[in-house]
Amino acid sequence: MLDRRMAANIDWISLVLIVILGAIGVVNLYSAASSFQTAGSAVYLKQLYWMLLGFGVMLLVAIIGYQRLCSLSLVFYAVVVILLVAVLIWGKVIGGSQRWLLIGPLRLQPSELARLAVVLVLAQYFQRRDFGQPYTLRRLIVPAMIAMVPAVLILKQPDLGTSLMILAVAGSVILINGIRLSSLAIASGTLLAVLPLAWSFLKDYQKRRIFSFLDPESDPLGAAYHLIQSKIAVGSGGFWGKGFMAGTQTQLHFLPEQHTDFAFSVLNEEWGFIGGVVVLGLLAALVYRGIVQATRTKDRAGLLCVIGGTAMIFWPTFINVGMVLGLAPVVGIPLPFVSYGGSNMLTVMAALGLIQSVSMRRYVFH
Amino acid sequence: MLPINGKKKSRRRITRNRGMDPGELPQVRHALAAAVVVVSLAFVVLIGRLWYLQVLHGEEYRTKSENNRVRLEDEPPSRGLIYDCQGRLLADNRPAFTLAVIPEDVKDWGLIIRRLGELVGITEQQIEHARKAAGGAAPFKPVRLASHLTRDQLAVLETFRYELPGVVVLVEYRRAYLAAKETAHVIGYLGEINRTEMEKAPKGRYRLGDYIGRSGLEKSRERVLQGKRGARQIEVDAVGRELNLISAVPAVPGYDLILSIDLNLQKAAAEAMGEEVGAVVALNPKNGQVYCLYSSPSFDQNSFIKGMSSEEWKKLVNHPRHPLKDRAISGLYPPGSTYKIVTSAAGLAEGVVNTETTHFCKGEMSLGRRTYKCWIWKRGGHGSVNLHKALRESCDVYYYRVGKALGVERLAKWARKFGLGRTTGIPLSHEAAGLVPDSQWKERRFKEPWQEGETLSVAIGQGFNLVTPLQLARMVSVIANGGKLVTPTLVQAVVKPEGGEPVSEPPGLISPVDIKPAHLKNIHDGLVAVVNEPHGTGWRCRLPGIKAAGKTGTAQVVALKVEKAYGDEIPWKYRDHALFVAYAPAEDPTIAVAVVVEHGGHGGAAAAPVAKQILEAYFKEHPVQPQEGEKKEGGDA
Repeated sequence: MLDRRMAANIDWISLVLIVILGAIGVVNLYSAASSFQTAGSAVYLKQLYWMLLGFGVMLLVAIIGYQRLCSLSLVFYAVVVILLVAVLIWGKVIGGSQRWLLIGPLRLQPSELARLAVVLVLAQYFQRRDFGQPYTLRRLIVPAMIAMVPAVLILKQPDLGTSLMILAVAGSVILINGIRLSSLAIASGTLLAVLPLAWSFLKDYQKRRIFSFLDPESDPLGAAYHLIQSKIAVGSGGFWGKGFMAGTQTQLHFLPEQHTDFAFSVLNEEWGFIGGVVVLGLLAALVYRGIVQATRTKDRAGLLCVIGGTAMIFWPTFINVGMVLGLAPVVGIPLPFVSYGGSNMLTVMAALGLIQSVSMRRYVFH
Repeated sequence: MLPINGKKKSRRRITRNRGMDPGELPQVRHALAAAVVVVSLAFVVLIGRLWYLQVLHGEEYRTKSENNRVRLEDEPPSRGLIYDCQGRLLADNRPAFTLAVIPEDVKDWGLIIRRLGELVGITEQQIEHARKAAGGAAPFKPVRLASHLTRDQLAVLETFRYELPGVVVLVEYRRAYLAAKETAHVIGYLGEINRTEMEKAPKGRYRLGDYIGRSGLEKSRERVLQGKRGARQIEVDAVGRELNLISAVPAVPGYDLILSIDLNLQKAAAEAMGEEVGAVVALNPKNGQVYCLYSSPSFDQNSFIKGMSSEEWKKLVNHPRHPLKDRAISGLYPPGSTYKIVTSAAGLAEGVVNTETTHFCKGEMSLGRRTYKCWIWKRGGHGSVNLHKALRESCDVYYYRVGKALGVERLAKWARKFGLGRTTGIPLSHEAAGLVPDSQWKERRFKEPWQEGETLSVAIGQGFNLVTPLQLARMVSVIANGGKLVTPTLVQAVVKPEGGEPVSEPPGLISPVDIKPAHLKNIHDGLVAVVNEPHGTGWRCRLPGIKAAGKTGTAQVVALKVEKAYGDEIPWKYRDHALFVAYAPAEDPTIAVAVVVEHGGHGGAAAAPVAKQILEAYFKEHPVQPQEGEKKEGGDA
């Protein structure tokens, strides 16, 4: 299964980047959640366990290989869609939205799996219909539906952020696969026209967040307050940062969700511009390694799996950091490696495993 | 950025696109190059933003974080008030003083713990507990230590306040119930929200320390009563005093409720029931608006707001008479002879009897090996009985015969038409559905076939039948209003915080019961006779000047095979339940009443006088213009 040639083609650079990022994430959580009282182990320890479990998942995905995963993708996709429907019916409501399925002691968040399923199904779909020329809109109806079904189900929970992530990842795969320029123009035009319609589907609190992003004065209560406090945290970090465990904004709980969505502001407050640039640099390097792997792929499914996996790192990074720095509205998207969260960690590691699995097989012919 | 494998590329160029590695297709290469540009741009923007915030404006933000004195203060909404139908206030909000501490402002915890212990007697454990409960709350939020401070405590605290930085006294509006005992079950009470309730509610709706409706209308109308939280973003000085207001969103008060409940009737019910256990329901038979919903014994809702000690709580929960239970909607009782209304309607409608049919009552009836007694058996029976007499004197033998002829299925069908066996739809939680037994139910429940003798028990309201007092009031309303099943409602109108006229609530659903007017009239005449004719079992409910109709009921609690004791000699818990249903005025009924007195003995003796007091209270407020002819009749009574 794992012959020597495959082992030789593991992308060691990525692996090193992952280990460093994971370590930074755990250390940062030690500070971000130091003042919390939690049941069971401390948050940073839990994240460490998830990280280790994540390496297992990554190895498993890499060994199974993207071809086999692609051929099973439809089953996987169907299971995810069923789980997403189940979560709407039986899911546990936390904070007004229904995202979790309780299976015994496990709290499963199926929306995290959806991204992976969509990437695999799209890769398989385009592999089968590789006609070597850019796609027209008509031929993209099926791929678009593949992404829309889980996206709409997740929007219903309601979880705007995760829903947008699926669309962004699927969009990246479709664009790299090739789309005729005229079709691209039409698609973007329609998207702009449909935007007002989509607005009407948003929940009140989602609309409020967008309003408060556009006009922070309008909402001194909720999201805008968080945004202001996050900006203060990041800005006050300065060039060198306030030092580990010394972030006043963090330790005094001025930050909302400081161990999950806003963990990056903790890092910036305590480690300053230097810390922020290092983490962003590491994440950027990981994304570039993905693109480099993409240029070396042997088949279309492999190419698209790599692109999908890379998009699953890039988009959450861009949106989360943009939000924390006050460039994007507050949507709950975790930052890979830095934000606390088990389901997310496993999904990210599975995505990276997918990239590795393609990289390892680039000289294996079939 | 893109390493190009030149050798391979030139070799493959001869072949068609289909044969190339996808990574080498020109369009894919272009797309990937574009991706590199997009990704690079994105990271440049993010790092540029970091530079802008941390390096260019770092000093500015550093000062801001050091003086992070912008605080967000909650402005809790004031909860909607509750009025009775005459505009009398039932639930109000009154200021109460709460002792709290802002942990971030505390300089010396040891001092605070010691001094608060000396001044107001708060223990270290209490403070620790409160802080733990508030763990993870936003910064500078007061942690509440004690509510409803007394005047003395307040005075002491005010005197020493400046020695205790971080300690604050909050003036908070707290719920106050003005007729606590009389309206405890229908209004309900509030409790401090717990974590499970917080998690279930939409984000931001509640904060720790908020109060949430736990029972009665406070619970079922939580959404409109609650209102909407406001907030103020303020700047404070180093000791936490407000310097200036940056911006504010005012709180929106909750809707006020105007109930159909009449406080005078609640009071009359409380007084009439006294120490007895049971329930009183009064409603408008025409539209289902509930005038009175009283359960006895009652409790003081205000103790829930002030906070109970665990002993007080235990005492309330373990009280042998269960005061927290709302017997009016969830107490289950055999209907006893009040059920003969249903049996009569079924018998007439199914053609089993008509007004001419007579049965002979010799005080008992045999079926198989068993003998079924009429309640009057000791005095030798009712003799020849028709429907009118059977209702008036509550002859069991007559209804055994009717029940036997009908069978249990038809009896059950008609019981359901009168709204028994399912919840009435009153907007309160924990309403019981009751039970209408039939052979299918018995098969399911006991895995045994139905016995004919059980049909006889069911026909006189004994056996497996279970009803709530509210269901009884609705049942008798069908006769009073000419054949309509009403849905009980409690809220007449709501008053929106913007002001303006009260907005009426939609009326409850009214559905017709397919029963002939002539049959209704026959039963109605019988019920009038119960109260007004000689030998009527409900004579204790006669009212001066107003003709009432009613039906008594006495529900056996245990089948006493040998009646060893009589009256007061029977232990309380083995005495029969007394029931009475009534409506008035008979000509055009405006009120229907149901009374259950647990272990009260005979319905006519224990429950009818209670119903009379409710009717009297009602007609004192709504006098009836005496009409010709009827005045004389009333005078006879």
